[in-house]
Amino acid sequence: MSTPMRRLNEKGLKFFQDYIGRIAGDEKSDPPIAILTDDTWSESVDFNLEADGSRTFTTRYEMGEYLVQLFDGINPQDIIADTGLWSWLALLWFNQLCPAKADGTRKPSKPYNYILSPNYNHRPRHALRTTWQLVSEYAESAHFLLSKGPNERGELLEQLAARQFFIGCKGIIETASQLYSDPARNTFKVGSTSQKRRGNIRRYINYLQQLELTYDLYTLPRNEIINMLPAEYSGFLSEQGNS
Amino acid sequence: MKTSRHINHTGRHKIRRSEVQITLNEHPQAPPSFDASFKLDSSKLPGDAALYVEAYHKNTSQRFHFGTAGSPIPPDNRSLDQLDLSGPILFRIKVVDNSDRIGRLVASAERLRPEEDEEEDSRASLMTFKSTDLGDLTWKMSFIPDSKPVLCINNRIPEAKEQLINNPVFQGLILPAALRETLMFIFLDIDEDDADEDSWHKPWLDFANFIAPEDKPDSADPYELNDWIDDVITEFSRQHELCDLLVTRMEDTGQ
Repeated sequence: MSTPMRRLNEKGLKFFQDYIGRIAGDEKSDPPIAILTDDTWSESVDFNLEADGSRTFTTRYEMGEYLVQLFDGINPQDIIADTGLWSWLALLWFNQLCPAKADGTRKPSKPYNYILSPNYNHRPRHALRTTWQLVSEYAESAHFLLSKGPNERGELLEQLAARQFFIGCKGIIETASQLYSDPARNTFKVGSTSQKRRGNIRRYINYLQQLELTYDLYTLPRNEIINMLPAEYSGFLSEQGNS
Repeated sequence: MKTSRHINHTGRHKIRRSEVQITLNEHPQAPPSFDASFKLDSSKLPGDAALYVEAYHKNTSQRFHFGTAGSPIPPDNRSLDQLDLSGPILFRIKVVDNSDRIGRLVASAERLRPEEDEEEDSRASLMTFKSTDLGDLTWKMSFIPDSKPVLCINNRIPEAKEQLINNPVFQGLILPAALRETLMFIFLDIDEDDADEDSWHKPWLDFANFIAPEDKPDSADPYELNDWIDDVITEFSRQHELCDLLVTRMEDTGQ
């Protein structure tokens, strides 16, 4: 069922935050979706869009595709910092971002995964905004980062998003996609996050930190990075050819 | 893998501080913007190399394309609206090869501060001051490499700097904690007794040693160091009568 898009106001944000705190304390209750359409807790936005709260997503990538379609034609700068809007969307799909277990309890992540934080270190953790940004910027190249269920964030994204500058660099993401995507499994390659395997994602991050001393990573295209990668990445690169 | 900060096998030039002038423009109810002007040494740089300015604080950065090294052109929008503004803003300059070896840094400068911050930092003081957006936080200390500590106060507090200079309540509640945090940071940041003569740590340690009733213990034991810092702050508070003045101000204002 589609709902006209709105944003949570200050009261709504606090109510949502309190709800997350309560379910973190094992309270068994459904998300307070009534506040999504109630003027006491939320307000209208400047554009006429409707979001389908009943739509089911199997991966975060699918959520990202839907959001990119939804916001097609909207200036990204108009919504990127809209705390109330992103938090409203997270509440709309909260049952998928934080599903109830068989006993009715939920295990929410930190509130900034659902409520866009004023703390810039936490902003990339927002489940929907970062998903939308990645799919909007990189489309299929971001699939390996978002291939798990809507309620799972994953180590690969964790590592890359911790360095916010890196996720803004097209060459870095496209190279990571070539290294770690496994089209056959429709997710990332086995061993991508293993600290025991040579060329894993942590090693890649370390290598980029070294590379940025002599190169502008924002400018470097994928093929240039691939050509410069040390031999330890050959395993992941050749595996790409086999899949 | 330990990352060296001194790799330069591509012959990257260092842009000198004197070749760049950056000023911050504050705007009421809006993020600050900046202006940058350049006097780059053209003999060392290809004129068609791309010129970028990156503003940054902690983990956030915002990038601006300023045309080419030979002909810098400022972009129309220089608003720092995607940056964490809770502390001092630094800038880096990049001159980037876009023709021969794409992406290679031809020249760069790191950790540049706006002119006004440079001026304040050059004054004979132990820390600098910044009024900035801290959300619901009232104040905090901010530490950036190669610069004096910055005492940041929430810009929603009216006349914050004047309050800190003249109001014993502000002084009594902020200064001892700021002093403690800075001394703690120094001991985290440097090897024992290894404060570089030119670093900001040295005058702070000299100041603390001057105030302290006893010399700093020749030890890395955190308990001993904490006791010594306690002594420094207690003596600092006594010399400046911080509690007496605070109580007097509260009585005077009927609180």
